[in-house]
This record gives sequence, structure tokens and C-alpha cells, in this order.
Amino acid sequence: MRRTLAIAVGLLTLLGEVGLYQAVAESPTKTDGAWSFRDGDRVALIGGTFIEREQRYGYLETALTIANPDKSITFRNLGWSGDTIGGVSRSGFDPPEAGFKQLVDQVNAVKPTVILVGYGANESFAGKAGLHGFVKGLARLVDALKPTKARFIFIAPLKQENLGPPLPNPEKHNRDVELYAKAIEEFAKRIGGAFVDLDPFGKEGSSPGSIHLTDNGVHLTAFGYWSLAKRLGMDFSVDASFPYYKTGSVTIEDLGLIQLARTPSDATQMVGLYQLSQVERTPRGLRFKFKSSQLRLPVPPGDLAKSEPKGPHRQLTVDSLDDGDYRLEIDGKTILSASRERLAKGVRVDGDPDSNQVEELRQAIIRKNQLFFYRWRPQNITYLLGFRKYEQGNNAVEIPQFDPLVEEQEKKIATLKKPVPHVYELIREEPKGGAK
Amino acid sequence: MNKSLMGATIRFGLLAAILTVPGLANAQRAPFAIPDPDPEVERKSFILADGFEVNLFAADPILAKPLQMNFDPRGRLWVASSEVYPQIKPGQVANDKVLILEDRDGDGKADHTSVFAQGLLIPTGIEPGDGGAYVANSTELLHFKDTDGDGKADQTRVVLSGFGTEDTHHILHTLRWGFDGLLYFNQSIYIHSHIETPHGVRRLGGGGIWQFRPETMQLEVFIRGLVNPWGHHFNRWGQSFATDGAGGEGINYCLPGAYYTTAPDAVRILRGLNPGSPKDCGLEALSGRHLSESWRGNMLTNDFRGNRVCRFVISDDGAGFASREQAELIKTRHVAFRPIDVKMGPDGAIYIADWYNPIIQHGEVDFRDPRRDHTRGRIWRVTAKGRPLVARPKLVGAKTEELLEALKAPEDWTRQQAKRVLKERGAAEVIPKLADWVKRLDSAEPEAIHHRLEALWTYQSLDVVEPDLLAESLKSGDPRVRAAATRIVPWWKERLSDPIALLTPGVEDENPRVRLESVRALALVPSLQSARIAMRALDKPMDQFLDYALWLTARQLHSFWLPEVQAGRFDFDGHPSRLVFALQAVNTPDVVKPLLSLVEAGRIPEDQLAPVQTLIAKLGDARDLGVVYKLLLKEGSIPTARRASLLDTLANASKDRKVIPAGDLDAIQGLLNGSDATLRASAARAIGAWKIDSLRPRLIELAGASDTARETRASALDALIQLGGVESRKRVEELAEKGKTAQIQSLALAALVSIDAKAAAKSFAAWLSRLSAKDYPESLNVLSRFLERKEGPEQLSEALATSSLEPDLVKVLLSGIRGSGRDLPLLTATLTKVGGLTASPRALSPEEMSRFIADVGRIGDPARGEALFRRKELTCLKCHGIAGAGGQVGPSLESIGASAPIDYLIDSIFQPNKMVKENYHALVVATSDGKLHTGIKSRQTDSELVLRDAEDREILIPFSTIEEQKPAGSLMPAGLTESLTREEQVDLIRFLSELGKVGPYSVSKERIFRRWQALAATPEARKAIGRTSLDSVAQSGESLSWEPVYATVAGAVPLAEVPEIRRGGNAAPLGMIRAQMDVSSGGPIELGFNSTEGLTIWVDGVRTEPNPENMNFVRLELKPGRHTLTLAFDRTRRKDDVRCRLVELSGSSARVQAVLGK
Repeated sequence: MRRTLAIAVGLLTLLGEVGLYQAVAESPTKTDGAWSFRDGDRVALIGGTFIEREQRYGYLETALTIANPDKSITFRNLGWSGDTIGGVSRSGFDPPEAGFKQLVDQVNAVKPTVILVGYGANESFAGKAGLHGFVKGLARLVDALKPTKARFIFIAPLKQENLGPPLPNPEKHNRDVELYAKAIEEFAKRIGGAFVDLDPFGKEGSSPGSIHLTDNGVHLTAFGYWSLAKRLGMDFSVDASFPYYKTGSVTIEDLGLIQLARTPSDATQMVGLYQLSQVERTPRGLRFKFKSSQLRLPVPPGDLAKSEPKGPHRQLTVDSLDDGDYRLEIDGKTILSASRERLAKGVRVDGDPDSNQVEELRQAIIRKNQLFFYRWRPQNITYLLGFRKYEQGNNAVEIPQFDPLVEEQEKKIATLKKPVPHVYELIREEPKGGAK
Repeated sequence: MNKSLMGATIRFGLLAAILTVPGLANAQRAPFAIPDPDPEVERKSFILADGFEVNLFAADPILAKPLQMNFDPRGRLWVASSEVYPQIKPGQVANDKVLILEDRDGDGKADHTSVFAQGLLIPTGIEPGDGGAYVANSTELLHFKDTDGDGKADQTRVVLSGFGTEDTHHILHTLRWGFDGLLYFNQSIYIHSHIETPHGVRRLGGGGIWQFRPETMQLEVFIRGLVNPWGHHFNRWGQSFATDGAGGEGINYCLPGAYYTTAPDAVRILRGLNPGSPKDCGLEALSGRHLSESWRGNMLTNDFRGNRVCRFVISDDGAGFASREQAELIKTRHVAFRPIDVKMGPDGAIYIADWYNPIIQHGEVDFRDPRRDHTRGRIWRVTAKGRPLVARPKLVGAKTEELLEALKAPEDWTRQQAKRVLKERGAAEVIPKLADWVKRLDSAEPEAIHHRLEALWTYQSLDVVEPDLLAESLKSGDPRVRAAATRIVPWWKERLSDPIALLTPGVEDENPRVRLESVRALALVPSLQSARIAMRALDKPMDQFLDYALWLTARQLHSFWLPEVQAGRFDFDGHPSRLVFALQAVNTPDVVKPLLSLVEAGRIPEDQLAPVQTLIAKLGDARDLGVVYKLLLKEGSIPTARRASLLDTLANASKDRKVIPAGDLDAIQGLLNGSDATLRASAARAIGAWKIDSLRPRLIELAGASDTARETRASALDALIQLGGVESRKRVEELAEKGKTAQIQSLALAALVSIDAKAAAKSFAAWLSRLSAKDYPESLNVLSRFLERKEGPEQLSEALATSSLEPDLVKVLLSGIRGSGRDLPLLTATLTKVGGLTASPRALSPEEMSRFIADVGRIGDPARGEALFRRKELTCLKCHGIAGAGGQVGPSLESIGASAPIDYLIDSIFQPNKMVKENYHALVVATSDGKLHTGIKSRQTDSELVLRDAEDREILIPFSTIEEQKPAGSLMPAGLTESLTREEQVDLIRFLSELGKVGPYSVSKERIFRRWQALAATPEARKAIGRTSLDSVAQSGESLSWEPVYATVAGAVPLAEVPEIRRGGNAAPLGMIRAQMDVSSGGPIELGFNSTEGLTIWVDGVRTEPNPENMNFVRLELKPGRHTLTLAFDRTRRKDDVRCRLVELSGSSARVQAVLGK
């Protein structure tokens, strides 16, 4: 007898963020629609606190990494708080204008093939009066970095989120930010670079969802970075879209024959998302091999994951099972227990190996960034490389010793970003203590 | 060796025996004994102030390397600690911690410890608050929260980021809640911070104190500068003070917005209140019932180099403060006791964080020096014997009404923590009850005035404007309240109806500090009107602090008033003195025209005239300069010395800015023919600068005449070269060849260097080979010209290569090279070779080093070492001061022995470039005239860089002429001690190694006159004493020559070092010395002598007698200003060295400082 079995594995979206998602979906702006990463790319990220603080959380980098699992792409975060297009924060003991040379040298030192430029937020405080100088600064920087032959991605500055008093009302300032963003977009178009506007705040600085993305108006929280990461991943995914929030189902009509059917909604994306194989009935249930084609973003940070029952998660729907209670084992490890009825409706799967792997990946990215930070911006630079180097400069031998440690993490990242197959098994529990 | 010294040595020997554990693993490498880490051994070594005892509150292993500590309102002690310092190792995971130490049973010892946060990288600051704690974590200021109350942080927020990390003992530190609810934190000299806020980016490159309101993200710089401001605290009335771990001026009064030493872009700085002090870390104001009356209001800080916890008494001094050091709370010879923080606790006791490390610093001592301790640390608790402790207040969970009552507590701790709890409770809960509490305050209560101030601060803390209480406080009967309330006005300016009107009466308040605060507050309400009002302060008496405050305000508001003045629409209500003060403060070319019109109208007040003339001469155009030129031509118009310096300023204007005064330039001939040598020299310089060809013959005449003064001759020769032309050159060459004296020849050769250095080098080499011994010093005239040119040393070296010179001549030349502060290996080698001298010894091998170190401890004699240190030929005191007396080019040495390991001292002397103290790196500046200037950056003005050269002179270099600046190494010449025998070197190092350690070589807290000048035994001095009276010498010593003589570390001027002036006939030989003192507030004071036996005493030239009832004291009544104390003694009658100190009389308003420096 033929039985129809349907297994659906997918993600549910966080309800509170539907608004955010929609705001995002309509706007990814790329001047070059065909823009994509290439195998072997080395991305240098430059800018102010927005860029610098990303390395603390790693969400943006994780999104870009998992969106390109089959390409080797490495990232070097060279962000510096308070920085401007002239590199003013990098000037150290020298006059402010010396920062520009530092900026160019620092970018050159990482041998980039892609340069992601995230300036404009700090400059925007100078308003319209500073705009001309800023655009000239962009041109000067691109010109100075031309010898790298790198492709450019420009990120629009984020507006300020309006968090209400006692923090300042950002409306006026946000109009200036918009001016700068527009100027960057035009500049990007002119030189044939990519332009990305991730800004989630409107002129009024309102937050797209119910949860604030910054805690002071100007700097993203971990959740803020996580939210933006979804968008960035979409822009630079292998596919044109980055389907973290799509749901769908895959029906297996015949045992032994895996047929991937398109559901009316969005199965196109789903096709690329995962593979089921070796689906087989076992005496006590069902076993199949599952492999994602791409990892998904980690769960949102902090309490959100715990407190939001409807946060994004993997859902497993299996019908046509025999009556009874089942436990789900992944790679031999028990993950959950559920009745046939609940499985038919769909159960939430937490702590699956892919989720763990992507978190491990994010931690490796954070550690890599930290080691690289110790490498390129070591503490005590005055003694190691600066004007007191003839005293403690001997200690500078330690600095290149961070290189192999960074490489070690890169290897880890390269492995972790590739999904691996996992064996899922549903096993019917023996009724406890009595006959049925 | 004298008796007392022997005693000291024996004591040291015993202590060392107690403190040392023989056979420690790394003792081999250690040049000093690594002490026994047992806390009890350390505790027993403490010498405490009378009436105090100390117990161990907490120690390793629960606590490693505390960096800062602060209490929370529950009375728990939060400690930031770092094992990673000074530098993370490759592969090491940063896991520094914030600990909470609790004494639950109140027995004075921590009984519970929890790790609140970990995974940190060198957290240098901790301050609990806002439901968790703020932590300085290298580039970031973090806030950690413990939401589930398990004592461990579970949420992390980056509050601010972008703090620099150029030096890990400079990074963000000294977190502290202010009395005003603001969070204050500090950074040190090398740090460059770039902080983004929703209000824009804030930047600070250099030291300073930040001021931050977390809920509004308002971030401002409170004061700028200081090298390592590792201490900051405020007194009961909200006045802030800071200490400096490298600045050496004790307690600094924080005048809002002021610039202090090393501040970036500082044009003018404020100095500390205890110049010549050792360096300090941490700061706390003492208060509360547990301590006796005389200790309350005192401030404690830590001389961590000298292993001491120090105490200062602060008192009013005009608009500012005076500070006097008292006997220490704790001192010890235990080398690992490193007190770095001090706080009062909830029980009224004093808590001291002991970083516990034999090695401090990482700039001068290798990061990975195995002697560095990474695992230990202690918290000590000091209590007053026999006095009851304060009951620990229960604040968290108390009713709001109870918290308000706690604002009346005599303990600063309680009031401050109560305010924190109130703040976190929020305005909605607190404000109604606060209003009610204020209403019910009994104004008859003696402390009611202070309670109301606390209430006002609580409003400020909650950021709720209370205009009525503010207005009432601005009119309080207590000036301290008026001053404190004034500071609040700018914070509320947007929400007050007329903030400027509120600040107006304070500008003319009877109390100088209220005037100061008003002047500063007006700068924060920027407008033309604020400037207009602020300048009214000039109508009341000014002092150094007020002058600084007003100067700052005038500059900060200049964009409001200066354009109005230039347009002729505003003149500070017709008060020239106000206008002149403001214009001078701005000091840019924009102010020249307005000043000149005042000059021409004769409206410049007399006492402002001189600086105004200089300013016009410096910044004006040709016409402006012409006015000054015309003025100085007239004899008797202004004093001769001023005429000369104005003329020099004019000459420099043509050199630096190519501006020549309009007018009859030939008229300068009159000055060239005058009688004053200095003025003649200046005139010659001007002639060269302005290229007045018609005066060439007169210059030639002056250059060659045998009776021309040296100064005039040098200028005339240089001017001839500047005039240019074949004729000039020929004449100068003739003088170089055949001038009547070696002086003429050398000055002519020197002048020739600037036009043809190569040829001059050849002539110089030839000239040197025929120079007679008595004229050797003249060779330096020429040498210095070569040294100030980029190619000079090389050219000279080439010309000398084939010469053969007398060894003694070469020694003179080598000393000249040393004095230049430049490292010139090629020229040095050439000279050494042509003089047949042997090369400098190489660096010590490790074996030699350890033998040397052993000998320092074994046979080094500090007393002999001190005598060597004072020897003129060694020139130590030319550059280094001890307790502020001596040169200022090099680091001050009063605590060097307690801070630096002996190997560091040895290296510093034998290889000065190996390690250089921060802030003492030389700078080489190349200017557009092809010259090089070497010196330590001292400060900068709007238009000039000011260097201090190896001769301790200030060199002013206009920015417009600077082509390149490069950091260089040490100004200290190598080979200074080569003339010493090894035994002498050992003695010298031993002396240095004792400086600052407990014993005879730690500087006394007595306010001793350490900087003296002795009358030189010149024929003129003999003549003056013989022909006139001693009184007239004491009155007008200026025309005679005086040489520096400094007190010993113990404070006495050795009579043997004072030149003997022989008198005619049977009169006994005589010695005469003088010292100066600055009086900031007038009143009665006393001078205390070891004895006045055989001394004749003058103050400002007036004979002064000792007190009849106690002959060791002299009572004086002094007015503000500088005063000179002169002493003469008959060498047969006076046998004792002279030791003299300032004694402030209780109740006297007088504030006096002995003048220090070179």
C-alpha cells in the first residue's frame, strides 16, 4: 500500500518583525544587479563605529559568509570609532590629516579585492556645509586605493533611531544623513561600485519593529546587527534572495523515491535550501538524511531567543506516521519528543546541529576578528612601533605571531560555513508500563 | 660615613632580611630581592601615622592585580583587576575580571567574593551603578547588568567606544560618580580617543578628564592635560581635584575647562598645587565621624613609587586652593607595596588597593620581565585606634524619605551613595518627596546650608530643573554654595528663562571663587552678552586662578565679541582694561588693529602696556610695527631692557613673517651708538634683518673694535653677513683670520658658517690647531653654529679628519656636543680620533651588570653619591631637579630610587637612549632657515612651538617656519659619568637608588627653600661689597652675578658650596645666598631656620630680625607677589649649613610657595 508522507522543514518568522522584513524587502539597492562575491575575495571593511563594533557581534560577517558557502571569502575589519573619510581617527600622535595615509596603508596591508566603505555618519553632523568636502574625500580615497584594483561596496550611513527624550530628537539630523546617503549613492553609481542602503530608520528615526535596534540612537545593539545581517545576506546571497524567512513544505510521496514538489508559494527558493535523501521507514518510525545548502543566521541574540516563542526556528512537519509518541534524534542525539498529531501539525526544532554550527561559526569569526585586532591595532603601539620603540620595540616580535592564529581561525571558518548532512530519525516510543 | 647614615643603613639591612626570601626562582635575574609575598610580612613593614592601625581586608589568591576599586550603595567593594597587563600575549585569551568583595559580618575582612564579569582586556576602571557596573575595557566603556541577581553579569552593553590604547597604563581609567550625578572618567597623555555620540563625535588626544551623563549621552571634556591623571575627587562643596602619576605637582585644582601640563593645543596651562612633589595615583577626600577632626577634609593619594600613602591639607587661596603635604598615613620600604587607589568605606575606615608589584611601568621595563608579578594584590583597611566605626548605613531598600535624611550624614560616603540610590529610583518617585524635604528643612540647623546644596545636587542628578532652589542658592550666605550653584546654571540653560541674568551678580561677587565660577559658567552660555558680563570681573581684585579663568572665557567667546569690536560696534562698555584683556587673550593678528587704536589714543592702562606692545610687534603689519618702532626709538619712553626686547621682536617679525616696520629705518643708528650693550646688540640684529646697507661701515667698525661687548660684537658680525655682499664677507674673513683676540676670530668664524659652511669648516680646523689653551672655550662659539645646521656636523667632521688636536681642546669640543643634546656619532668619533682619546666604553655585559648591581648594594655609599651628584662638572642638577629644585629638562628624581629597579638606573646613566621617561623625548625641529633645534616640547602658543633645550632654555619656533618635526631620543648626553671611577659610579647609583625610599633620602614634607642662588666670587662682587654696604648688595644684587646652589635632599645648603667672597683688610670672608617665594594670598607667615646664628637676613632688601622669643624663626607680613630672601654670613662665625623653610601660621590667610626650578 502506498502511503503519502509529507515532511516539511522550514523556518517561521518572528511575527514582530514582519514589518521590518517588508521594509527591507523592497529596498536593497544595488547599482550593479549582477554584483556578487568571487571566489578568493578578501574584503576590507572601513568606516567608523558601525563597522568597528560589528566585529564584536559578527552578525554581518556571518551573514555574508554563510551566503557564500562555496566561495573562499575572508574579511578584515579595519573600522575605527569616530573615523571619517579622511581617516582622522587613525592619525595617532600626528596631525589629523596624517590619518589619511594611515587609512590607505592599513587597507593596502590587508591586500583587499573588495573594499566595503562605511563612512558618512560622523561627517553628517557638519550638515550640508560639510557635504562637498565629504564627496571630495570619497573621491580622494577611491583614487588612493585604485592601485589595489579592488571592487567597492558603499554602505549608506544609518540614520539615528528616535528613542525619545532624554536622548535628542533626530529628525533634523536624519535629513542630513539622508543627504549624505544620497551623495554616496550617486558617487557609487559614478564609479561603478555597489551601493547598499541597510538603513532601517526613516527620517523620523522610527524603528521598524517593536524592538529597538540601537540603545543610544546611533549605535546598533547586537539585535540591531542581527536584524541588519538578514538584509545584508539577502543582498549578497548566492541566489538573488536569501530565504531565511520563507516557509514551505516538501512532500515525499513515495518511500524510496524522493520527489521534490513545488508548493504554490515559494518552493523555488526551497529547492535550493536543503536536500533530503535516504528517506526510509524503519520498524519504529522514519529516518532520513538532511542537508542544508546554506546555513541560516544564528538565532537572535540575548533574551529574545528565549522569550520569543515565535522566533525564527526550524519546523518539522511529518504526516502519515503511525499512531504514537515519537522522539526525534539527530545524529543519534535526542532533540525532542512529540505525538503523531503534533508532528503532523509541525513542531519547533531547537538546538539542531545546523543552528549550533552557525553559532560556532559566528564565534570563530568573532575570535578571528579579535586576534586580527590585536594584530593590526595592538595596545601599547607607542612602545611597540611608535616613538618609544627603541625601549620596548623588542616586544614587537610578538605582533606577527598573531598571524598564524588568525589563519587558524580562518580555516575553522572555512569548514564551519559549509553545511554537512545530518541523520534525522523519528522513533516511536514504547508505551510506558502497560499494553495498548 | 656619619652616624645617622650608618643607622639608616643598618635599619635597611634588617628590613631587607625580613622581607627577602632567599633562593626564589627568578632571583638570579633580579637586581633586587623579590620580597616574601606573605601579606603579614608586608603589613608588619608598614609605618603608620600616629593613632592608626591597618588590617588585611582581602588578598590573593582571591584578588590579583587590582587597578581600581569603588563601593556600591550596599557597601560591597567592586574591584577591577588585570593579569593580562601590560600586554596580551599571542594566543592568550583575555580573561581579566571584575570582582565584588563583601564583608557581610562587618569584621573588616572580606568574607564573600564573586566574579561579576570576566573575559575583559585590561579593565582599568570600575564604577557600580545603574543596575550593574560601568567598566573601562581598553577601547570601550561597558555597562554590565546582573538582571537575575545572582551576582554575575548577564547583560553587556557598549556605552561608549573609541578610546585609545597607545599605552596600557594610560587607557580609560578613574571612573567616578560626581556629586552632580555625572560619570567622570580619565585618560592619560598618549591616548587619542574618538567617541561617537548622538550629539556628534567627541575627540581628545592627550590626557584629561571626561564628563558624561549616561541617559542623555552628553559627553564633554572637563579638564584637559596632566600626564597620568590617575586620581580625581571632589570636596564637600563640589570642587574637583586631580592627581598625576607622572606630573609631579601633587594635588591639582580642577578649574572647569582648564588646560594642564601636556594638554594638546594648550596655549597656557594651570599648574599643580604642590610643585616638586612625587607622582601620585588615586585620590580621596576624608570625611566622617570615625576620623578625628584634624583628618577630615584632608586628601589622601598614593606615592606608589615611594611606597607611601600620602596626606594633603587643602585650603582656600583666593579663587583657587593651596595644598600642603603632611606626614604619610603609611610608608614602608617593602618594594612591592604599590598603593594605587584609596577610598573611604561604609564603616568610615580607609581602604587602600595595593597593586603589589616589585616592577611598575612597562615603558621602561620589559613587558615580559620575569620579575613582574601577575597574580597578587591586596586591599588594606586602615582604622583609627580607639575610635568607634560608623554604623554601615542601609540605603538599598530604604524608604525615599530615609534616603533624603541620609543626605544630612557627616560621611561623604553616605551622602554620595544615598544620592546614587535616589537617582536610580527616578524622578517620579523622588521629586515630590525631595520638594517636601527641602520645605521642611530647619534653617536654624547648623548644616542646613549644606543640606540644601545636597538637595540642589539631587535635582541636578535627576536632571529636573528647580529654578527656585537654584536662585536661592545663588544668593546663599555661604560663598561655597553660591559657587556650586553657579556651576549648575549652564547645565540647565535651555530650561531657565534667563541664565545670563542669573550668572551676572556672581561676576562681581565679593568672593573670588564665585567670581571664577561665574566667569567660567558664562563661557558655557555663549553669546556677546556673556562676554560683556564676564569681563566685569576685572573690576574686582584678580589672582592667578581668576586671571586664567577669565582668559579662557575671553578666548572661548571670541567669535561673539571680536567681530563686533573689529566692526567698531562693541568695546566692552568703554572699559579699555576689559577690552585690552580680552584682545590679549585672543592673541591673533585680528586683535592688532583694535589694540593699536587704543595705543594711539593713549588708552592702554599702564600695567597692560608692555605686553600689548610686544603683541603688536609680534603680530602686526608694517604700519603697526612702525608705531612700535617709533616708540622705542625715543630714549626714556620705555625702559632700556624693554626697548631691546621689542626691537628683537621686530627683527624676528622680518625673519619669520617678512614684515619690516614702516618708518625711517636709518634712525636706528642712534641706538647702535648708545651705551647699553644689549640694546646695541639688538640694534645690530635689526640692521641685519632689515638690510640697512648705509650702516655697514659702522657695523664693521663695531665688529673689530677691541672694546665692543661680546654680545654686540656677535650681533654685528651676524648682521654683516646678513647684509650680504663681497665687502661684508671680506671684512668678516679678515677678522676671522687676523682679529685682535680669539674672541673676535671665533665670532667671525661663527658668522661665516651661515654663508659657506664648508669653507668655514676648513678655516675653523686650521684655527683650532693654533688655538692657545686659555682660549679653548671660544671654540664653542663656532662649534655651536655647525651643530645647529643639518649638514654642519658632517662638514665639520670632514674638515677635521686630517687634523691633530690637543686632547684638552677635544674634551671642550666634546662637552659642547653633549650640551647640544644631539647624538652625533660621526663627529664624536672624528674628534676622539684626532684628539688621541679612547672611545666610550661599551654597554655592560650581563655579568658586569650583575656585579655592578651587587656592588651598589654592598659598597655603594649614598652620601658620597649625593656629593658626586651635586658636583658641577657632572651637570646632573643642570637638567634634573629634586623636589622641584634644579633643571627641568629631565625627569625630576625625588622618587626615582623607589620606582626604578637598579638595572634601569644603570642603563639610564650609561645608555641614556635605551629608556626614556614618557614626556621626556626630545624633538628635533627643522626650520626653513636650514637650522635644527633640539629640545623637549614644553608647550605651544597659537603661533609658536616652545622647546626646552639641553641648556634648560626655552626656544620659541614659529609654526610658519617649521619644515619638519621628528621625535628623537633622550636629551641626556651619553658618557657624562665617564670621568668617574667605578667606585664613584657605584656610589652615584646607590644615591639614586635611595631617592624616595623611606629613610634619609626621601624628600621631607616640610616646605623647604631648595632653590638658592649664591653670589659669585667675581671682582665686581668684591668691589660692591667693599665699596658699598651689604644692605645695598641685598637691595640691588641684580647687577652682580649669581650662580645656582641647591639644597641637599635633606634640605640644607652646604656652606662649602657657597663661593667665598674675600674682603679687604682683616674682615672675614663672606657668603651670600638668596631665594625667592611667591605669595598668592597675603598675610603673616614665618621662616623657620635650623638656626639664625651668624646670619644676616633681608627680605626684599630690608633687614629683618629673628623673633625675640624664638631665634630660629623670622616672622613676616607679606603682600601678594614675588619676594626675595637674602642671607649673608660671616664664614668664621657661621658653621652650620643653612636650612630654611616656610611655616604657615594657623589662622593666617597667607599662601606662600618657595620658587622652584633652575
